Amino acid sequence: MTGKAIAKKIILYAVLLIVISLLQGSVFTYVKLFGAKPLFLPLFAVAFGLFEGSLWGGLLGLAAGIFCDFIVGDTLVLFTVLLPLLGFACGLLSEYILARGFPSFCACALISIFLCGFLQAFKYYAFTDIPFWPITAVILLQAAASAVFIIPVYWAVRFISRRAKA
Amino acid sequence: MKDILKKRAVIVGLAIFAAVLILVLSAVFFGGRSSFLKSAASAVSAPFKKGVSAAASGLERLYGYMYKYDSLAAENEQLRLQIAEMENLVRDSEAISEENERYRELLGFAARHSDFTFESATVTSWTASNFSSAFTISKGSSSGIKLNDSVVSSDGCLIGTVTELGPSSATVTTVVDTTFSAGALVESSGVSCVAAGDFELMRKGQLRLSYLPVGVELTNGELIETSGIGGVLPRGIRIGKVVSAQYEAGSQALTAVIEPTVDFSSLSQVFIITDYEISE
Repeated sequence: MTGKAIAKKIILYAVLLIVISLLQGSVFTYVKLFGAKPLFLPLFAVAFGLFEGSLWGGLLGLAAGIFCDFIVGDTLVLFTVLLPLLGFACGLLSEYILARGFPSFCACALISIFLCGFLQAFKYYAFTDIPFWPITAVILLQAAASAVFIIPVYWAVRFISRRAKA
Repeated sequence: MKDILKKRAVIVGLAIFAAVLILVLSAVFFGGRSSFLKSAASAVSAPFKKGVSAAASGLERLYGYMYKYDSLAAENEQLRLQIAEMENLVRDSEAISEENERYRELLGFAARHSDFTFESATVTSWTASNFSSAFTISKGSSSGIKLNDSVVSSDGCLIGTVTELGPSSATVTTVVDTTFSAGALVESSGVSCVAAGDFELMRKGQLRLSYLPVGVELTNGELIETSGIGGVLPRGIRIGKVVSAQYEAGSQALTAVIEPTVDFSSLSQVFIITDYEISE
């Protein structure tokens, strides 16, 4: 890949990340789906890994993670650590095991949504006396709200991935 | 033949002479009035004159349209700008009017608590988390805001407390968040209790009132305010109103659900109590 192609890819993904982060941090802090705010930035880390491989998945996942922690606010560095790992892992899987298609993305995206929800809620499970089901209900609702974005995220990243390679 | 022609010429000459004579005589006798011929000529020429006049005015309009088009376009543009400016002014004045209304409300609250020092700030963003209830405000430590400062609405209802602080921004955790807990009083009876966030109630925008003394009765709609115990929050700030009360299963402890009197979804401006006198 030439320097020009790399620069083009970086610019395209940077623009996408900024737009998505703005949406996540503004519109979707007010709009609720199924009674929960959707969290779709982790889906981008998965898509980056799947379409761009482990290295780009890790790097772009790191950027998405920083944005995500900044927007969500109560997670310290959870997403800054988690999303690069997700991007890297999905990249690795797509390089060796998974086909780069929608079923693979869908499966990885759903796993990542539940993983993010569970890790966000971990402190409530572990360190508070809040019952199990109310916390789990919030995780499930957040997962359902985020799952709505699986198809748009898949198409957006696939489109940019193809444009960057063209 | 020549004679005939001569006769005809004489007749024509006489006729012309007679006509001129009639015209002269009519001019002499009917001076100032239009003669029959004049009227006839006028009647014949009128349509032509009208046609010419219409054509001329059409040409004039076309010329005027072409000549004035640029100036009209410029004037139109100027008017559009003026309308846009006026619309902006109306919007600004509406925002100022709303802000003024909030300050008026605050004035009433400040009159009741003359020891409070306020700092106003705007809400910049809400958290995207489903596990907490917090928002960011536009002012921070450089404006004199400190950690744990109380944040109230313009009508003096408690919104939350400052939990994270930066130089030019701060995070306010609302009263419905699970981390919130404060000493409270039932406004009507002065009964002391604790108002705290509850995970299940947070999604409904409510909080729980607990540690009520045995035998206390609460009715829906009763107002709850801060007690000031602990010295973190000032006394007498309204938290919300009771929406339901029930005894905990297997005990005589009464707990209640409170709904904040503030509509969090419509918050745009908040007031931070940066200083107050602790009443003993």
